[in-house]
Amino acid sequence: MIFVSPFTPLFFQPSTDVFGADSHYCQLFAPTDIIVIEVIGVENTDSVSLSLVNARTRASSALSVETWVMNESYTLYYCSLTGLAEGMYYVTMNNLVSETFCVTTDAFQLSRTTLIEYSMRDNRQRQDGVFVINGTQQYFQWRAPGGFKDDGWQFGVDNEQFDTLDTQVAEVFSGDIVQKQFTLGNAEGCPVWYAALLNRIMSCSFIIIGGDRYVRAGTATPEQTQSIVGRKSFIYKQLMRKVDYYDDDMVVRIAEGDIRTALLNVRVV
Amino acid sequence: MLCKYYLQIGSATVTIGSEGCMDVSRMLSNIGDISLSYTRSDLSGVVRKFGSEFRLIGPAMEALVSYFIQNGTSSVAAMAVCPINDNWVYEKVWECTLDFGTFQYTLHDCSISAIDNSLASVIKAHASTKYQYLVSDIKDPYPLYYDHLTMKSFADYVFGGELDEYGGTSVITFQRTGEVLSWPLFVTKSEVANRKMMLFSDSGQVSGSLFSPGTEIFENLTDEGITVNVSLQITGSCENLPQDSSDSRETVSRLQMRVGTSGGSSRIEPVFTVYTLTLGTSFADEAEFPIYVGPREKVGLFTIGWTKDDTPVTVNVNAESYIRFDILTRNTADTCDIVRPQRLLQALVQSMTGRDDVTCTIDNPPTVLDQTHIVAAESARGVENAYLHTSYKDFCAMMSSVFGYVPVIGTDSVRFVKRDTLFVNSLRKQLSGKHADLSVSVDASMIYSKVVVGYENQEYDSVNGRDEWRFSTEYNTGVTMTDNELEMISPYRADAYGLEFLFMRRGEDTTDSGSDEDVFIVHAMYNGRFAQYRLNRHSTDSSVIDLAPSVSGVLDPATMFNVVYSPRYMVAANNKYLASFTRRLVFASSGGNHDVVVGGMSVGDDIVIAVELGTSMFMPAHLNIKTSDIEIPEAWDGYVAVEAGGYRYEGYLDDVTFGFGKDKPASYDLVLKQITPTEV
Repeated sequence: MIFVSPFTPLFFQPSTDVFGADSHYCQLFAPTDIIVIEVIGVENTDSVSLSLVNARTRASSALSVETWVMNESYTLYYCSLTGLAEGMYYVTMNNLVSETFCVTTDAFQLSRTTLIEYSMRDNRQRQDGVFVINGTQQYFQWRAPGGFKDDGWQFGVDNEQFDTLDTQVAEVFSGDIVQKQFTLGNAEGCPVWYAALLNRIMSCSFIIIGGDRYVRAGTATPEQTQSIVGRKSFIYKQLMRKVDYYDDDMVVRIAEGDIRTALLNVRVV
Repeated sequence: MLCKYYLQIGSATVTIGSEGCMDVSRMLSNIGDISLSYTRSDLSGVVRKFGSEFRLIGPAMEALVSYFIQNGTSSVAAMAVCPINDNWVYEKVWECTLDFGTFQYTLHDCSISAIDNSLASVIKAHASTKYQYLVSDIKDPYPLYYDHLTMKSFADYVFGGELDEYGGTSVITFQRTGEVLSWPLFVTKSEVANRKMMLFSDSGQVSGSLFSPGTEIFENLTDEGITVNVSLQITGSCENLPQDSSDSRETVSRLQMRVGTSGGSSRIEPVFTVYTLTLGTSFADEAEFPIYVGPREKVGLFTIGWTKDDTPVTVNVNAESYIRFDILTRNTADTCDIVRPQRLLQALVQSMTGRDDVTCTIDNPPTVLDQTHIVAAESARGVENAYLHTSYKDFCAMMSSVFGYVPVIGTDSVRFVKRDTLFVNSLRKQLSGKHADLSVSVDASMIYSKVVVGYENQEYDSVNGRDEWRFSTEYNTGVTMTDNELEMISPYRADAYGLEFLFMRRGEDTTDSGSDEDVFIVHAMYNGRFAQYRLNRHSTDSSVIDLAPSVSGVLDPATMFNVVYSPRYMVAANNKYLASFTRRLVFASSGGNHDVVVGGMSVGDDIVIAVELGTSMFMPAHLNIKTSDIEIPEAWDGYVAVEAGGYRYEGYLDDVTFGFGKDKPASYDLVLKQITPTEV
């Protein structure tokens, strides 16, 4: 059996809903983004071939697939795509075809997206994605439509107070909390599987959005707040909290000279 | 983390893939409760425990229930826990048998608890059981050459004869010319170190030849000479003789102390113990002198005298007169079986666990421990088929109190290590995650106001035993916070006199003594030339290797051994531990000889706990903290550090529980080592 890891930021036949009109939104990537495609084989004897197809010209070029044999049963096939020329593409994996995506340098379009990087601290939490490939930490990148809107900030406080004898108030300790809502989907909304990927990303150990580290706020999940009329396109809001520390292993296991180190603005607690 | 659980029904060990083994990973309804904990008890090694209850549903539950219904109380089952690794391979990390005594089920689920059958819990369950071993099964191939202590024997004699009406004088009468008369002497008090070596006896007023039966007061029963130190005080007078006109004062007789054998030669020893008894005069003497009594010779007090004309002569001896013999002897050497500590440990572990594949070691022993051997009281007594009686708990108490060594129990090994090595002054884990709920509390149970060090007090029948000092000594720590008492008592004895008395009783096979189940430790070194272990003694001769600390204040320092087990060396072995709550032990009291000076320090001196700054094992306080750092370190020998609230806390693990089924924050309980302010 072979399957594409659901952490891959490309969508291979994500929905079986054949009714209604699809979302207008086209997935975007910048040429500097690194698109990591992971395919996991379980007791697999077939070969895995990945190809990048130009959506306009239908020209197909095979991608070089690296292999890591994890154990007797599991094999990981992966490749990283970066530095693509502007254009529309889709990827095929054996018989599967992904949704079309667009690579652009258009500053305006890119400004309406946010780059999210994500990874897990080890491979032991799940078996549908590999985040430490043979000892090296692997980050995925996904360019999501939307970002943090100013009207999505929420405030909280963690404190303890008591009333003193002379009816004054004494505060034992106090810490302020800011939670921000990430709005997924711009005016045209986005397909439902984007929310599924965002929810999955929020369960990762390391989440970097726009260079800052975030963590899911409590048990908040993507909430559908608006539906684009006549289309299967929606706007979601996901509440999250920014955290100011980086785990030692976030830093240690990133390979030297990796582009992600620069993006991370490493700060060790 | 992802984890697979395998249930094996019908066997106490899990063999994945065998019949009767099920993958129950999806049939455990209480996965969130399954946890793994590391605990340290008694300041020894850290033990991993996996005490969990498993709640099973579905096919697992059905299989277990039907098995139990068929097999009842002879049911046996086990669970293996296999977490995933980064290569997505499930590796078994833990296995435990299930306790059917806790089995219960409803229509939908069943629950059963795990028995921690780890080596540590099995040992703990049987630690206090006393086992007995035939010494010949576990002894070392080479014996101990026991060449004894010098022992003192003595006898006090008073003069016999008829007492006058005031009771103040003994009257001795002799009748005939040339009569050899032994003087009557009675033993009022005596102690013989070894009955096979000498005999003190009463002598009667017997006229006959020298050393005829009943005339001797002392006999040397050995084939070697004995030196007797005599001290005497005699006052008397010679009277009641009619005088005729032609008499001048005449020598009537000579009172002599003679040494010799009957039928053999005898000599007057020494020459000046001859008292000339002259009529009408009194005599008095007070003297101390040694006499040499050869092999099989006797000593007696005789008069060889003559009367002038068959008229009896009486001699009056003041009743306060006495003669005292003091003798120092040393028995000829014996040999006896010894048991090496490591061998005994192995036997104990095998008795407790039923396994012979457990590795038992004593790591990096210092010379004194390397030269320590165990002697069963019955071996010392020369009993045929001697037995050694002891328990694991006693063994541990001896190792920790005398040497500061504690057990570290692994999965298949029991290692005794110096307690200091478990509390290494190096960082093992820095808690790097976020933490909460920090609380520090002083642990009063770790603070002691009194320390009792040493061995159990013994009572001996012999006056020689008054020389012994290796009993329990009490010290005050100067701490007034609590009234706790720390006991560092070794159940194995080290008193040389106790051992000596046991050896002296060789041959008395039918008597049973209270010490027969005791165990001794003996300080001896292997001598290749003789293929024996020989006792270590202090030597002042620079040409002889000095094997033991110096000792004085005992009868014969040159023959004293086991000095290195003195209570003050036990304190030194546990220095760093004691430094945790005190820097000075103030002497309060001790059993036994107070005049002993060991290694230049008197038994009654205070002890300063001299450790380098920062090397005392810990502070008597605990730190509790919850943290998101759930990475389990490989070992717990160094300290765990966390920084919070402007301070850096370093402490050794006391207890921590990690969620195994579901990752949970870890709650650490640390025994604090030190707290230092962090620089801002």
